[in-house]
Amino acid sequence: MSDDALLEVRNLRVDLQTSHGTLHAVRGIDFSLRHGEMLCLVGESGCGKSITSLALMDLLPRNATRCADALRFKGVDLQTLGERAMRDVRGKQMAMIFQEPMTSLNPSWTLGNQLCETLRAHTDATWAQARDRAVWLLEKVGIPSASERLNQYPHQLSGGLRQRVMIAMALMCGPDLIIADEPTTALDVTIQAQILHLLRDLQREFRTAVIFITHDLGVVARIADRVAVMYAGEIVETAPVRELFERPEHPYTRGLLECIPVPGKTAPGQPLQAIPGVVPNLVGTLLGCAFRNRCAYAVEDCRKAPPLAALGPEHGVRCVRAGHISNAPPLQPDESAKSAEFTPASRLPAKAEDEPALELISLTKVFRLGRGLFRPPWEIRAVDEVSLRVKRGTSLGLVGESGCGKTTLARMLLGLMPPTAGSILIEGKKIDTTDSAGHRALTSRMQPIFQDPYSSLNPRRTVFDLVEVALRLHKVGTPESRKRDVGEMLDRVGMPARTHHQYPGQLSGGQRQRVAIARALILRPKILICDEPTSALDVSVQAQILNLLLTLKKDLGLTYLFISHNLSVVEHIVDEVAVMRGGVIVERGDCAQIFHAPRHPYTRTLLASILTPEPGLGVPDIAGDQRTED
Amino acid sequence: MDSDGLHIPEVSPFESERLFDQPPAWRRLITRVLRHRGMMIGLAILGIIVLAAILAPVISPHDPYAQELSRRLTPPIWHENGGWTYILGTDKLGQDYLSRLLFGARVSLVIGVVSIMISGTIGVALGVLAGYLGGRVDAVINYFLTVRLSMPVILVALASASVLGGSVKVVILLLGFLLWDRFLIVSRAVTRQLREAEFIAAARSLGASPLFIMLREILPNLLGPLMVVATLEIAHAILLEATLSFLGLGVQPPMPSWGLMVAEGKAYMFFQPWIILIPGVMLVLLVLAINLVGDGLRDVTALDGRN
Amino acid sequence: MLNFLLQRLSVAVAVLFTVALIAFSLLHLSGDLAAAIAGPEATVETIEHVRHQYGLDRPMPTQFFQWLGSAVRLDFGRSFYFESSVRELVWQRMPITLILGVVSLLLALIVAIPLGVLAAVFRDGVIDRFSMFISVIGQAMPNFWFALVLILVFAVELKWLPVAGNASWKNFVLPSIALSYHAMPALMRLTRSGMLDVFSADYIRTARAKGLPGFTVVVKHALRNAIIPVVALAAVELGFMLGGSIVIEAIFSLQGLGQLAWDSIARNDFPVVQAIVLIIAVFYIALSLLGDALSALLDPRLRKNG
Repeated sequence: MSDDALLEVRNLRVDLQTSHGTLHAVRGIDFSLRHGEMLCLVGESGCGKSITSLALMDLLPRNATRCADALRFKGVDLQTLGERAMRDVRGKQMAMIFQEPMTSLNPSWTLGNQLCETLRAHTDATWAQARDRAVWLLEKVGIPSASERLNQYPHQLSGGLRQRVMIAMALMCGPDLIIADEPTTALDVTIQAQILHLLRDLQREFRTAVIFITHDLGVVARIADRVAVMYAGEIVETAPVRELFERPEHPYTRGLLECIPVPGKTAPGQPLQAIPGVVPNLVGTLLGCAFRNRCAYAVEDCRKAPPLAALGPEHGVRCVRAGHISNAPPLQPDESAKSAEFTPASRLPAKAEDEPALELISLTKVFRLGRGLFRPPWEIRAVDEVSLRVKRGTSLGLVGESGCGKTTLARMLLGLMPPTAGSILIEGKKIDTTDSAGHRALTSRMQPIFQDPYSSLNPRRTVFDLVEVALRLHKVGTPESRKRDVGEMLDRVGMPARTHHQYPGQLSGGQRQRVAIARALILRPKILICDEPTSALDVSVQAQILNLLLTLKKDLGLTYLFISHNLSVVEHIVDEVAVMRGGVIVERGDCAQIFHAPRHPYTRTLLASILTPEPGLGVPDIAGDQRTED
Repeated sequence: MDSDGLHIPEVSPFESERLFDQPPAWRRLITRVLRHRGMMIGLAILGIIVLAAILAPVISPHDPYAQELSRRLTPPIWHENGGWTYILGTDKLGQDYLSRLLFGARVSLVIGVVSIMISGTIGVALGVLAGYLGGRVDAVINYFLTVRLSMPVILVALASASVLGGSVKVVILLLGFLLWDRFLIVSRAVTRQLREAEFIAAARSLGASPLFIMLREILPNLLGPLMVVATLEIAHAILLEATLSFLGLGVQPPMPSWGLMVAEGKAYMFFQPWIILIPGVMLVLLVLAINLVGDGLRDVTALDGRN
Repeated sequence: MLNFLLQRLSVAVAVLFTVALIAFSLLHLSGDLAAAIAGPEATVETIEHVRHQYGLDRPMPTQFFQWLGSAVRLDFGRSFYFESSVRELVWQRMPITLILGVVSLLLALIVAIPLGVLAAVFRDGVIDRFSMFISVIGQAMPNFWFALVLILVFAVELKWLPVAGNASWKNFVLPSIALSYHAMPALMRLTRSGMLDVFSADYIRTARAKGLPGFTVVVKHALRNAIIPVVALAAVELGFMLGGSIVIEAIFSLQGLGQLAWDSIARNDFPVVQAIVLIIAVFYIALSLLGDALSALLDPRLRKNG
């Protein structure tokens, strides 16, 4: 195995010095990579996957130190190379693609300059030669009119195009290894499919090995040759892609696979198998298995650190119960979902009550830009005559890619932005969001849940205060009754009493989102506007929050408008779907109809770009309309 | 959960699972302050000067206003002609230099703190309004800011002081109505950022009024950066007071002020350099200490963001 | 871009009008101007005569607009003290202040930018500590006192340079040092913090991942972006220096605008003070426009076709 290995990592450790102590970000990992192989490092945030890639490139932050028994790349141990020799490896033999295409290119230099300087730094190519190669590669990565693009600056390109440029840049010197760190996470689903397709094609054509870092098991299934699952700085399981998905032997791997909704596989509306708890703090010394306090299969032996057991020639698992996990019986759903009794026919309540809880009639928002003194204004119709009805007690999913107008729509609904035209009806009554009485009436009936749990809670208020302030603003109850009500609500969303006097800075992302839900529900609204409520969360936490939302909907008879770009989540949680593009609803209908018999071509494109965690299907070939991308 | 008789252990696999169980914020802040060397030095110097200013009537060896013309320009103790009676010597009127320094500290500190309280109130109020409301309000406030910045503080203060006559009260009012620009710039910038935060949208969705949002949601989040600005601006005000007094349009004699002491000593500095060096060094020490505290506050509060 | 400039220009005009109004009302609040001009021993008749002669008996708005009207044509009236045209007086003194300001700014930049860059590159190292030390001291030192200390050391003790006057270039050395040390810390800190910000930007990681030499990363990729706010600040800082020059010119007896302003304030020579306030405001506004234009030129995202 080590003869044809391009890269061999033995016992790599990375420590970070933080104000709380030494954080062991990577704790002794081993892996190897063959020429032309695609290895996926998968794990949730904070598991050490990005740090691993930076350690390979020797680009760790100042407060980090790495050590390893071996870091052999093409037969040379990278640890023995000085900064100068390492610089020759970087960019020439080992290139990198980062997550954020919007910030990964230098805004002050042209694309041509940034592409060519890579080649010029490593070879004695002339500018003209470098330019020729840049044009050739830009065409390879599917950028139209490549030679003109060379004189453009990064801000003149869309995110998808910039990521293509980043790929071209990585290929400039024909490297043996490309490390791609979440290269498609910041992109829309259709663009993601295109970029993955491109990456896979180029990897085969140039026979380049790729280390692909991602948190998305759907992506892993479609592009990986081999997978390494990371948890708390360790590789807990490694296997060829098919084997891993068909026979996951680490409880964490199995948990990850079971906690994501998969259209056509998981039963819609049913609770998901969430992984309880949170990732442990990596400051301090490891005692035993890192996963054992979240593990349903844990035994007494887990107090001792398990070795990486070999289950097959290429299948390693770091678990004492390896070999018994994949065929163990399925577990009960997590406790936060228990309070609801789920009936098989939970979707579309049989009640003949068709009265809409929320109705939008020709809602329109026009932004007038450049309202300067001397410039003719021009308009953007962000939301264009959108009419929707959400029946009481049901949920409507609003899906679309970035810039389609879904967030503007939500802001108008919440009274955060006056509509240009059209009206909003709640339970048949027209609401005027611009006057304060109308806005007040609106706020007690409809509440939001936002995307980013880090910015949705005022850091200067305690958990209790965050929820209570809503009651105080509406002058509801006495201090005692408020204390009781807030306590009950926090209890309902699963916030233990000891957290009630903590500040948001002391909470995990999932806990924060629970507090945001409690705050939204404390005024007993009937409608929740959920704007991407789980897209900033790790998948195991996402399952917890989705379960909570399903339970609350059932228990409190809530109506949801669920805005998301994640179609799998939408399919799991909603009854009806509206697909939005360019400010208009292009298709709407029953969830099953949309997912099984989509009519509009854009809906079909969107559905085709869903990457379910099914290995062997490959990346769908989405015919991207390049012109819409500039 | 107990499907096959197993349990989820409550203990963490790590010895120190502290991520979500941290000590309270103020305690972390104090720990960081204690570890910040520059800030500790600044706090120490500042503490001594503040203490000396408060205790000035008790510890001054002489009456700062008592003139003894026969002993004028006595050099300080380290000088060969110096003596223990006047440790830091006397000025051109024979007033004890040490006593005047101690009382001068009071003038500097009072003017610095009071004028910044005025300018801080103006600047923060305007900054939060401009940052939160934006649009026309922002444009108007920005126009006021440009007007203010296009007139140099020293020039305007000198011209106004010549009209109004120099005194402690005039200096405080002048600086109070001139030094709000930095408060405005900082509070507007931070408010603008916060305005986009989702918790402001959440508060609006709960029906909170703009006033409530500005006072209860935004202002508490401004405290950190504003404390930094306030300390640095106090230092700025102290320097300006010294400059005005040096130019003869600030604090008027016989009241002791460090800037004034330099001005009064200027004529004698070629032969008695200590006469300008002593008050100057005191000014440098005081302003340095305040700046160190301000920089320290910036470092210490900057870390107090997300985990 | 043209639209943007026109907008900025209209704001600038409004600001200048306000500054003029403030300067005018401030100086007319100071009591009886006619009595001040006529002098302490003048009789009531003389004062009345002066009042009429200078037009001080007309209503305030009329006086203001008359003054403003001629100020627009660069006619600032006659100095009470010198009995000569304010324009000529200002014209004579301006070059000295401008030379002092520009030289000081260049000096400050020559020290601040390399020091800021090195401090950021070798963060927490010797250079960083050293530059932090000088900038902290520089911010703590009163301008006037530092100037006096410079005189004591270089003119009195070492006798290298003259104490005061404006006979030769040597007279400008100490004032420039004094004035530039005042502006240097802000520029240095902005360079340093700008570099540190940029160092943590994703595109610097990209540049390093491409295996570019350290110098290229620091200068071509980092400094190129970090310098933009420094340039804008430098332009504004020059405007502030014109104000700061009052103290420095007074101490070194440089016959510039600052000295003139101070003398005129002391002599209640209001036409001169008004004119200088207005001229400095024009400079400040022009310089901040220049600063914006320069950063737009340096930042492709702000350029016309962006």
